[in-house]
Formats: sequence, structure tokens, C-alpha cells
Amino acid sequence: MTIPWFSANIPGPKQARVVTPEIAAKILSKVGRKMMLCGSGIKGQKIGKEPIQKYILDLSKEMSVVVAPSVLKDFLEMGAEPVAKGVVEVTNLLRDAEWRGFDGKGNYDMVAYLGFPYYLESQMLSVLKHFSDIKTMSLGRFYQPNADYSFDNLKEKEWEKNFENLISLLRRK
Amino acid sequence: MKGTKFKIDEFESDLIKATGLEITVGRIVEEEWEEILGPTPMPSVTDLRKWDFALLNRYKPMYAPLCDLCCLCTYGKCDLSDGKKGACGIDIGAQQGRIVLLACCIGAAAHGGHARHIVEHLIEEHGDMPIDMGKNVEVEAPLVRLIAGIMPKKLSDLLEPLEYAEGELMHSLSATHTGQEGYFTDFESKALHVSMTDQLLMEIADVAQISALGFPKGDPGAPLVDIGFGSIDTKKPVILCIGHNVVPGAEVINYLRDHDLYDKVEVAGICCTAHDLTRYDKGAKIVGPLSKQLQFVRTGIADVIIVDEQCVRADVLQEARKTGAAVIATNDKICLGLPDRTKDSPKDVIDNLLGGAPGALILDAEKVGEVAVRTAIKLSETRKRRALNVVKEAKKCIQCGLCIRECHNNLDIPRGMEKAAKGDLSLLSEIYELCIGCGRCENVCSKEIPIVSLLGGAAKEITRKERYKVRSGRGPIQDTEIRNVGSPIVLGEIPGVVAFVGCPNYAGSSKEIAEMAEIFLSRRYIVTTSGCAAMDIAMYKDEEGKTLYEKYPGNFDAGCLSNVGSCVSNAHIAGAAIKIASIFAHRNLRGNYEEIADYILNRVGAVGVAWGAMSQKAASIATGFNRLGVPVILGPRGAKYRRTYLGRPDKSEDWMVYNARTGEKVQISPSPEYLLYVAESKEEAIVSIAKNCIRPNDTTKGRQIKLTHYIDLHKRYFGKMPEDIAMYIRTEADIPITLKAEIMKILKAEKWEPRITPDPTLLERLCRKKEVK
Ligand code: SF4
Ligand code: SF4
Ligand code: SF4
Repeated sequence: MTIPWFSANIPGPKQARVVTPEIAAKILSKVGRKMMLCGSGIKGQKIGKEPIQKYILDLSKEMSVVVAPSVLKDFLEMGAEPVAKGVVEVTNLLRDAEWRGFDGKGNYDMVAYLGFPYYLESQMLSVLKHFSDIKTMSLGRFYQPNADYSFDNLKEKEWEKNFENLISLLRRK
Repeated sequence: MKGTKFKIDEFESDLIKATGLEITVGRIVEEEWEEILGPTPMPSVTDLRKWDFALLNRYKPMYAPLCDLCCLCTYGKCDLSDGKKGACGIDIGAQQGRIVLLACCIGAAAHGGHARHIVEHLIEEHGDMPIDMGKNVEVEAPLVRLIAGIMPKKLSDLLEPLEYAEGELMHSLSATHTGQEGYFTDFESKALHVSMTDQLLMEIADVAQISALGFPKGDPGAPLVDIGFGSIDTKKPVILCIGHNVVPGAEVINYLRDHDLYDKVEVAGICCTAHDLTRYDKGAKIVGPLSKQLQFVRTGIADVIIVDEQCVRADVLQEARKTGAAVIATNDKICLGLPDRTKDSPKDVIDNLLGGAPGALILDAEKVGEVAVRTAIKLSETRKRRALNVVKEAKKCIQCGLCIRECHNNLDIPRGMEKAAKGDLSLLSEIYELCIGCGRCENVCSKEIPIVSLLGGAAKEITRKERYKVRSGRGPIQDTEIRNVGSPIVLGEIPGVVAFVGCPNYAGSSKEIAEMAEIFLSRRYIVTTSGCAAMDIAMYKDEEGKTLYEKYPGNFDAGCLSNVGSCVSNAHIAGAAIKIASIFAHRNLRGNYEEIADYILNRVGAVGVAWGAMSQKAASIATGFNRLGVPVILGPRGAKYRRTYLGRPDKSEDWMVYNARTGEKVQISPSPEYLLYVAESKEEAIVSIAKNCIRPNDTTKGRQIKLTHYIDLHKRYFGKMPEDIAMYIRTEADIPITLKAEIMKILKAEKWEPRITPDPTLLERLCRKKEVK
């Protein structure tokens, strides 16, 4: 069993399944309505030489993207204007099955989290784990047991490779 | 039976006819205070349940379990995931409410224990002194008046509300027992209740110590005192006081004064005891907030460490052992396994400590004063402060990476070690700046490297220069100040009151809190602070080398920074909001909680910010403010409290109030949007603070001012106009003039329609006219 990045963060018997980029891409491509939430940690993050924002914008063609307000400026400068809302606020909306989504088409089937402080993401995943039917995936560098699916604990370079791989697999679908 | 009170609205017998009779067994309620008694003096656990439900209906709790299990009784462990219930029938939602209630009870108990000790001690030592909050403070104890319905005149008058709060605490705590409360909203109502009594307890403690110990009495010009490692004169013997109860530390100062030793010994403090020591004597030094505790103890600068209560590291004795400092435990809450030397002669205890005993438990404050001073003087002559070879220690590191996984802030200690091993201490020194001093990294280090000491060693040059000024805690806000700001706050012309409070469990740099404070000071909000947050605000200087306390006056006024004092002084921030309702708006206080909270929620644009909230006390403090109608924003770690109270601006039906003028139900702007929110970043918090200062009652001019700040900060940090702006415009007159064209375009696109500005209330009984159907 994978040990959470913060080793004491063991919630109970129900813990996330570790996924490779291939499996993650497969799962995500099968899901109907999906959303990716990007936190303040993506600031300054690069994948190879490219800013991660470029990859996220690529991904926004496949799924709804919501970013932390504190990183919105980076996207505006790139000419994009994703929805920007605090992760606590968005998670609160997500836990309501009746919520109509940011596009008015209904709540989401799966939500992926990326770039949040570890413990904050863990807590938000916990909200959805216990109080919604939404499936969750953690795409950060560290194993998040409260998600349904999570990347393993990874070294920086491994994670970059994983993330790049995931995006290209999703784009190929 | 003492203190049992009953009211009889109407009574008629052959002999007596009475109305409005109120009897307290043990004493007759004195009717010196002419104010009419409101509906809920000393409310029971359920008396304000309706108010709580009105809040919880709009601000629904969002639970984020930190653990899926419960292990509170022998039926357990129970796994509550996937909708499973525990063997007792509880579900995961109720279980979260239960844990939150437990945290609030623990927090209230900590303040209550402190209050009980200090009131009894002060009466014993100083006699039944009059309560005196200074010449401009007539409403001496707004929370006691509001909640207990009592106007205290002397210290012993505080015993009745204290007893009341202790009783409520017992009832609330009992509800967490297996087989008691079972539904989340009722757990929440009890959490709100016990946290309200927590505010009462804080006020009792601070009113007593201000009255009896000569602390500043609502003085905006309270002295500027020294804070920071660099302010401690290490050439003198040093006595360090850690905790929240000033009594033993004050006795140290008394002993020094009485024995002509005042200038010969350094008295310093960490955490709220430090604040209160400087309120007692401006010559005392503040080392810093809780996050500096382990670092400072490790420096070995302190010869004697006095611990009183709350926020003391459980391993203080082992840590002191490493440096040869003697520990004196002084309070029944923290005895540390030490022998009780209360009845022994000071000489015996001192000899024992000098002979190498690690510490002593002395439950007599006066004796603590003598033992601490004489021991410190002697120990300082013989004790050697050991220097640490950072490079040599860093070379032991095997890059296993275990430390970084334990670190709250994911600080890259291994890389810091790698560099340090080559003689470059810069990264370790940078890490020091972000370290909250928890020591968890060390616990797992494969090579048993004293990482915390290495960080301190690497940053030695910086810490030596850490010398700042903080304004000593002023205590209450003056009634005259409230008269000046009441109207502009309620009308919205002062854009808001922002209170930075709480612990230093920050996710980023401790400087963030000062940066946030300065943003609102420069925009002429009223900024107030207390506790560790007040210390961290001080530990930052501008280009001219000035701290915010030197730059901004200590008044409770626009563009001013008032430090009310220690944790228990938080009561004065609540008190200021209450006094706005009573002094400015002439609402009755006495036993009239619901109406005052309703007033504050709808009219007083105040926001609390607990950026590094850590303790159970911080949980009860925040929840107490929430019941009073004040929203609180927490830093990202606050998510681990498991519960937030969040409004849904997208649900217009949640934002209906009565218009007290007509009795009609009317739509308001979603404000305050949250009662308890967790912000991921400083930027998110800043914008959220500005938005949550908006209140339904703002005048158009006030709304314009508040929106100007909200929009400006939103544009600055997020790069665009807020998307929800139309929700906050009631009439065109609310639109900031310079933004008229831009906003009108948005309003048109959103098919906006004007709304009235009601006389807002959630309480139907306050409507002057009932709705005509
Ligand atoms: S209190 Fe209830 S949920 Fe907790 S261990 Fe006991 S039976 Fe299980
Ligand atoms: S002491 Fe500092 S570096 Fe070590 S785990 Fe705690 S915060 Fe991290
Ligand atoms: S745990 Fe100790 S040995 Fe391992 S990387 Fe950290 S400092 Fe080095």
C-alpha cells in the first residue's frame, strides 16, 4: 500500500488507487463531465521548458478548467480566461448534486486537482469523498489517499514526465 | 443553588400580583442597571438555537473529515466512509460536528481555566477590587452585559458569569459523549453556544487582569515595546516565560523591583504571556510568537524557563535539559511530571535546581518569582551556551529525504543540508524564515541531526538583528472611539474593520500577515490585532526601518492599528462590535444576544483573519465570532479544522432578510458571503476580506467605497473585474463613480434590476410592521 506523502495522513481503509498516466488518461477519457482544478502551486511551474499553463490550456479543450484566482493573471496574459474561484468555494459547489456547473449543464462526474498545498487538497478531496458521488483524481507530485485515483509520490522529473504523458494521451483521444 | 435564576412574567395569587419578577437564588438581582432585561440572560444550550439555525441555513457547514474513523469508545474503531454509520449510529457528518464541538469545548475550557485561576488569584491577592477599564470606558464588559445580563462592578461580580459559562461548557461537552447528540446542525449549534461562552470567559479574564494589574486601559498610546531575538540582552541572566497566564511572570518582575535587581535580569516571554508581561511592565521583552518557542529554547539564551498554561511545548523539559536551563512549572494545567516544591523553602528549591534538577513545580506565584530570579542569576554564572557547528552537522546528512515529508511546509531541508555541508548556509537560512518551529523533521531524521538548531544556527546573523517594536496591548476600545467610528462603520464609509488574530501556523512566510495588514491600513480600514498575529505584524519593517506599529497610530479608527493584547483580549474586538450596536445604535445589550448578533451581521462590516490558526482555542474564538455575526477567514491550514461555514451566492433564496420597516422579505446582496472561509493564498484572502466587509445596510456612499476597494484589489491581484459585481449593486447610486461606464455595461449584459436597501434583519420579531398579505 502506498504511504501518503505526509505519512500520518492516513484517513482509513478507503484510500486512492495509484494510477499511471496511461490509466489516468483511460479513466478520464471515459468520464462524461470532468473538471480540472488548478491551485496556486502551478505558479512558476514548468514542464520541460514550457510553462505548465500552456499544458493546462491544452487540456481545457478536453475538460472544464477552473484556476485559483491568484494564478488567473498568468492565464489572462496568455489570452485565455478560465473560470477563477477559490478551491474551497468550488468544492462547496461540487458537493451539491443539484448544482448546475459553470456552464449550466449540470454537476461533474470527475474532478482532478493539481497544484494545491498538500493538506488543503487532501481536505477538499475528503469533502467529495464523503459528501458527493463525484470521482476524484489527484494529479500532483504526491500520493493523496483521499482521492479515488492519485499519482504516486514522485520525484520532480518523474512527475513532469507523467504529467506531459497524460496530456499527450488525452489530446490523442 | 447559588446563582440559579428564574423569571416570572406574570404571577397572581390571593396575596401578590407581580409582573416581570426576577429572582436569583443566593442573591437578589440588583436593579441599579436601568436597561431592560432582554429575552436571553445567561442563555441555555438551546435558547439561541433558532438564531444558530438561521445562520446555519444560510452558511451551511462544509465538512472535510481529517480522518474517516472514530475511535472514541470501545465499540470502535468505526469506519464512517461510504455512508457507513458507527456502532452508535452516528454518521460522518454528525461526527465532524461532534469533533468541531469537542475542539470548541477544549478551546473554551482553556480560556475558562485561565479566567477561573486569574479571577480567584487576583481577588485573593488584591482584594475585591473595582472593575476599572479606564476613563473613557463605561461599558466595561460588553460580553458580560450582553450574555449574562449583568453589569459587573467589582472582581467578585465576575464569578457569576464565570460559573454560568462553566456550566454551559459542561452541558456542551457532555453532548459529545457516545449516545448523546446525533445531528450535525445541533452539534454546530452547541459549538456556536460554547464558543459564545468562550468569548465571555476571555472577557472575564482580561477585564480582571486589566483592573487589578494596572495594564493599559483602552490606551491607544500604549507603549511601544521590544520584540525579537535581538532585543534580548544576552549578557544578563535571562528568564523566559512561556504561555498565557501572566501571574508568575508578574511576580518575577515584582521580585526584581523589590530587590533592586530590575536592570540586572532580562525578563522575556513567548506567546501571550509575553504580551501580558509588557502590559504589566513595558521593560519586559517579547521574544516572539509560538513558532519561535523551540528555536529560542534551543539557543540556550534562557537560564530559567517558566511555563504557565496553553501553547507550551510538551517537550519543553527535555529541550531545556539540552541547554542546562531550569524549568519551573507554575500551573495545575502543566505539571510536566515535576516534583511539587510549592511548600518547600525557596533556598531548598534553588539549591536543588542548581544541583542539576531539571525543574520544579511551584504553585505559588510569589515563590516562583523569587526562585526564578535567584536561580537565573546563579545559573547564568556557570552555564555555558554551546555553539553549534552547522557545517559539521550538515555533513552527516545522507539525503534520505524523510525530513521533507514530515515538514508542514514541504521545506527542502535535504538541499539546504547539501549546500550547508559545502559551507553555504543561505538555503538553510531561507528555510528558517518559512519554518514554523514544529520540530517534526527532527523526529524522523535518519542521522538524528538537530535540524531546528541548524536552521537557527544558519540564520544566526538574521536573528541577532531581529529587533522590532510592537505596541503593548491596549485592552478595550474606548466608548468615545466607538462614538466616532460607529456611524461611518455602519453606514459603510469606513470600509471595514479587519482583525488579524490567532496563531503562527502559516503556510508561507510570517511576513504575509504584516503585508495584508498594511494593505488595509493604507486603505483606511480599521485594523486591529491580538495574540501571536500581533507579534508577527511587528516583525516586519518598511524601507525606512519602521514597523507598522511605529507607522500607524494605535487608535480604533480608520487607518490605525490597534493591538488589543493577548488571546483573551480578543474579547475586546467582539466587544467593539457589540458596543457599536449599543453605544452608537442604542440597542439594548442586556441579555439581548440575538438582536445584537443580528445587528452586527447585517450592519457592522467586520472581518476576522486567523491566518495561522492552529489551536482549539482558535477554533472556539472563530466560532464565537461567527455566532456574533462576524465572518472569519482562515489560512490554508484552517482546512484541517474540518469545517467551514459557506454561503451560496448563486442561490438567491438564501439571501432573503426581513425589511424591519415593512415586515416584507426582501433580497439582499450575498454579504457577508461566508461565516468561515479558508483562503488558499494571501491574494485570495485580501480580496475576500474586502468583499466580506460589505453589509446589507451600507448606504450608497458606503457601498461605493467598499466596492471601490473590492474591485481595485480584485483587479490588482486577479487581473480583472470581479464577475459577481452585479450582485452587490442595489441601485445605480451604489456604483463607484469612476467605474460607472464599465459597470453599467456589465449590469446591462446581466439584465440587472435595481433593488431596495432594506432595514435588514433575520429576526421577524424586530419588524416594526408586519407584512400585509
Ligand atoms: S463513538 Fe460511535 S462512531 Fe465512535 S467509536 Fe464509538 S460507536 Fe464508533
Ligand atoms: S521544524 Fe520547520 S523545517 Fe522542521 S518540519 Fe517543522 S516547519 Fe518544517
Ligand atoms: S532526514 Fe536527516 S539525513 Fe535525511 S535528508 Fe533530512 S536532514 Fe538529511
